[in-house]
Amino acid sequence: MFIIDKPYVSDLFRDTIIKNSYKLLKNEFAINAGHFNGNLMCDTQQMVKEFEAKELLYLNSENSIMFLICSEIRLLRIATSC
Amino acid sequence: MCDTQQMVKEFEAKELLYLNSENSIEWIATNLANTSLPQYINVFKNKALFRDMIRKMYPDFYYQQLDLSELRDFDINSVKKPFIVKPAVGFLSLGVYTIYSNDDWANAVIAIEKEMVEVKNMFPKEVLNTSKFIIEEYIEGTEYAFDAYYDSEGNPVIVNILKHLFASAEDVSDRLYITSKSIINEFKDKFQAFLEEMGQILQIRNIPIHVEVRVNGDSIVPIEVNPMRFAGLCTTDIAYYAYGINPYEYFIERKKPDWENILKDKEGKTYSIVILDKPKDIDANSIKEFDFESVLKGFEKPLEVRQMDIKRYPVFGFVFAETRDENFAELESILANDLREFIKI
Repeated sequence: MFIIDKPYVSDLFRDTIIKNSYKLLKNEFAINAGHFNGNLMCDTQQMVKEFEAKELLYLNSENSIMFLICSEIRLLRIATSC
Repeated sequence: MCDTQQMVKEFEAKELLYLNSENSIEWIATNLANTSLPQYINVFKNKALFRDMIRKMYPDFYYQQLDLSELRDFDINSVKKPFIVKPAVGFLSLGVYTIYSNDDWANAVIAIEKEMVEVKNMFPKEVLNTSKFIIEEYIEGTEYAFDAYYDSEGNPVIVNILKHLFASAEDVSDRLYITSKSIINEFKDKFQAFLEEMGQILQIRNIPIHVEVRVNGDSIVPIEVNPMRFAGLCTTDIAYYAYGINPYEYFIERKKPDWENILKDKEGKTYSIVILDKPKDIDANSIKEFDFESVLKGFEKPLEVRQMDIKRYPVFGFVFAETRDENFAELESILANDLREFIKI
């Protein structure tokens, strides 16, 4: 399953998802990309189920600031609980 | 001023407003929190934690974590130069600095503090003050990048290996990455062994990674490991153009490259990713045109051309090319080219 995000998705990547009907999260970027059939995209609940079944997830991009906010919260939680 | 607990709540509330917009990793943290995935990601994204975890592999590797507030008074005379300073947790997208001298250190600290000032309104002060930095020894050697995944049993599978070429010792650009039969054959077993050792320590499975290492003799030292993806901006696609390996399918379908078969007709050929980056001193808004046609004339066999909007991206685009060994000079030429001849202002 795939989650796509800014900044860029190649034709090969896009075509691979479409050709294989790989599960794709229905997010703003995927919808705006315009290439994917909205009906075939998965909502969060479907994606979580898919992950629990197959445990295979690929991202084209990582927004480090976003993630690191999460990390920082975890660190702060650890600090708080100590 | 808030205490830590209040600050966490405050930060969490603000973070959610920001996070809900468009972040994939955050989606994982939120929705797959009960799986191993956030933990895997954290090990790779927290550079100090990563060094801690693989310390057994590199017992003599020097690194140290510091708070932002400790940078200014840190005694760098106790550290062998050159060394690197960079955000450890990467809470903010600050730069990476190589320190060769005391002056470099002073400038880097000023630059880091300046960057912190620029983002100070985005985050609570307490959070900024908890930002961690890592100082680590400069890793000598030839730079390689490779894409791999760990399968459901935790076995690593390499889907491509790239050598990062530089124009000179001072060059730090990302202009050119190459792959070839000889590169794959020379390093696939060595990098496989590295991944197996790292995988056993980290106990990871079902995850794609993009690894950057420096190789010095028998020593393979990771610069960083990026989880959840292969080479960025879909440049991992070079594996498909060079070897017919679709890295996305290989990961999802758990396929393993049959290198012997794949490489049998690849003798004497180099496959490259050429990143056409903009000279830093040219304002993107002043650029009227980039002459892609002329750039392509410099390659005997372009395989894929990806033009990007320079006003939206820091690069003009990418070229994937196939080059015969006897024409390797075309790669050296683009490596040394500042691209100004192709830019119309």
